[in-house]
Amino acid sequence: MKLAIEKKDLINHIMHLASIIPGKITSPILTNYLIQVDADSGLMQITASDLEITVIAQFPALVQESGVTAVSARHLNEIINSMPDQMVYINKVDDNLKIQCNKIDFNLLCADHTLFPIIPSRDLSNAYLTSAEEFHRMIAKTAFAVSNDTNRAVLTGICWQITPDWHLMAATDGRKVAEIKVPHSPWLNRNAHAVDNDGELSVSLGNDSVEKILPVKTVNFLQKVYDSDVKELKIVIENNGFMFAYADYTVFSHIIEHKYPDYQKAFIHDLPNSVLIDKEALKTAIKRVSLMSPADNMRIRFDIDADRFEISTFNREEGEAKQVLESFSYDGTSANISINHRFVLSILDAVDTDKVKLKLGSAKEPLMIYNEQQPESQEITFLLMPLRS
Amino acid sequence: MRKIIHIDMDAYYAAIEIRENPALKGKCVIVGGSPNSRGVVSTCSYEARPFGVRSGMASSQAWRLCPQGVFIFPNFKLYKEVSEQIREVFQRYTDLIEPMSLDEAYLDVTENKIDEQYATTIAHRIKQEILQTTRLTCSAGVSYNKFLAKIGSELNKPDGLAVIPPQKAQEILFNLPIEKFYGIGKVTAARMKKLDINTGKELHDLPMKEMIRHFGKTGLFYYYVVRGIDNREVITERNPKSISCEDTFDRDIDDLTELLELLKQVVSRLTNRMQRKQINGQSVILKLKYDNFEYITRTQNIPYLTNDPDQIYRTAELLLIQNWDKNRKIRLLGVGLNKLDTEIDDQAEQLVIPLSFDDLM
Repeated sequence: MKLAIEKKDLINHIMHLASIIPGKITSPILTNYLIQVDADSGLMQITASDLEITVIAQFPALVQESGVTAVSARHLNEIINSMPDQMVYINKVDDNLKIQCNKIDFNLLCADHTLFPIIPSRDLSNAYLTSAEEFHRMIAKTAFAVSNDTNRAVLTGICWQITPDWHLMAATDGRKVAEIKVPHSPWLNRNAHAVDNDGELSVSLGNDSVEKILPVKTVNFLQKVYDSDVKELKIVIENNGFMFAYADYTVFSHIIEHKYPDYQKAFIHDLPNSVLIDKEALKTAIKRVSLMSPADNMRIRFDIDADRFEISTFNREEGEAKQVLESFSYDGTSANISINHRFVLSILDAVDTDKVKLKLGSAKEPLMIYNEQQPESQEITFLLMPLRS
Repeated sequence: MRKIIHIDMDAYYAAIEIRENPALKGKCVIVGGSPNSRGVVSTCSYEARPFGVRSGMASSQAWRLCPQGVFIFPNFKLYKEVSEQIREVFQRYTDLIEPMSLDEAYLDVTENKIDEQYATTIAHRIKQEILQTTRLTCSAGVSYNKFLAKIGSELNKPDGLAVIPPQKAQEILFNLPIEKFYGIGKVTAARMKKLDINTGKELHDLPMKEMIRHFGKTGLFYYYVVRGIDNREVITERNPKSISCEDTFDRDIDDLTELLELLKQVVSRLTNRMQRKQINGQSVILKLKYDNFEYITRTQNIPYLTNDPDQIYRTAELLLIQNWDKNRKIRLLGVGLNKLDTEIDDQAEQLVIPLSFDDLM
């Protein structure tokens, strides 16, 4: 193995791969990258895997001599990151990977690459061609609500439903829900190859709808490598896994095999009190008032009636705070609700419009949050469960 | 200073049975399981006590100690009715009532409905009124905290009344044998005796650090109560911390199929009760008692709150299979749930969506 590559080109490709390396070491070989270089195609390929997710980055390099090896992922990232912005020369000699740049020399011991798990093959013949931008946006609206409770694997992913007319992503941790639903033509198209192959496609799409759960680690990786210049995302859905092909990356991911719980039952769209308010003004006020909120439950309280919207908090040990907002429109009777300020801010960050619509009922009913849009064109629905008052 | 009264009915179940059937008067009345069953003694009359009969003892053993004893199967419905009458008496004086069981309660009479300054007077009147209403006697302890009130009701049993004012507390506590301390059971008492602690005085002499080292958090409780400090409130509505059901078999069993069948029945009784009371739990406890009365308890958490019989059964089944020493016969199986929503609700302020999941994981 012998090649040369610009430091910037290499680091840009491996910088996000490191997030795939498993945190808990289950098998020592997985702390390594599998590196393959091919002189004929002039491509360098680096693979990282935690068994559930495998990511391949493939990009051009000046390859003089083909070869394969495995080296410590952490070390390679740190070494390349430390190099000056110049050409990096990589050369495998016996069991050492020699990495040279300017007058800097590293010798990195290689691991036994034959131990690396088998990489699935990259077969895009059944792929859907999708809009990367739309996919990116849908994940951005939902990923923050994913649960980190590993006891409940099904909630650690985003639920993705595809029907002939629309598709939907949703996530919940039981305390908040985020859902986005968009009509999907023209963005979700089968590519030319797939049309010839209808029989096989029905496995994944069927006639009605599919529901798959995307692991949060997979979507987080896709979010990191998102590049607004690259418009196409190819997706292959199989029974037990996804394959995503995007820019220089191929991502193989397991599917969380569960039925997603019926979170929609919790939605109450016709709550009696409705507020329309400037989103930034609301966020600023919440951030300010929450400086005094208790650290354990992060409680703040909304008291709203027709001409007064008060945000308040109080903390037995430290003090209290309140701010009254006057510029808003309101439809309803006086209402109040106590909520976790961090949760409500995470939702407001995902609201697209300048004004945000809040709906609330009794202090025990959820707070519903929407974009400023007519109900029929409403794409996103957020729900936040209150704190007991 | 608070004014707390502890009322403890005298040989309650036995006394009721004697009231119902005066022919039993003066006899050794033993309420509980029958001596040829595997039941235990719930209560016995004072006449039976010199023979060594005690609550919680196997009925068969009680019968050996006291063969002339009259064994009566408990009639809980009746006992509950009488307790209701007693509670009505309490309610004439205060609403701050904490029933500990059918025959025992704490009352906070610091402020009371008859504006009586002396708790002792109230205790007298309660004793009298209970006697008039139910023809039963009780013992009362009057003091400035729950622990001392409880000690007081024990002092002159039966039909006693003891007042422990602050200036008398130390003397009484110092002379109290260690096993008479409320909350110190046989096991802890034995451990204390090993440390040469036999009386309240010796308990008092143990430094706080040592107390915590030997007895953990409860050590701290002992440290304070032996100094006459007990700030526990009289709690009127008590949320259960756990709920459980158990079954002592009429013979010892070592057949897995049979055990699983019985386990299913216990679980079903438990979940029926939970559903009736609308309680959910998040942690399953299995209790196994072997034929030599040794027992183990094992716990398994469920990732969410439930009272679903299948879910609880599956968890309990796994616990049984994993923990049963198959060379030994089982005498009793019990299943319970911890981490109840009644308890969690008090702290968990964040409301959550009641999501339902299809499976265990």
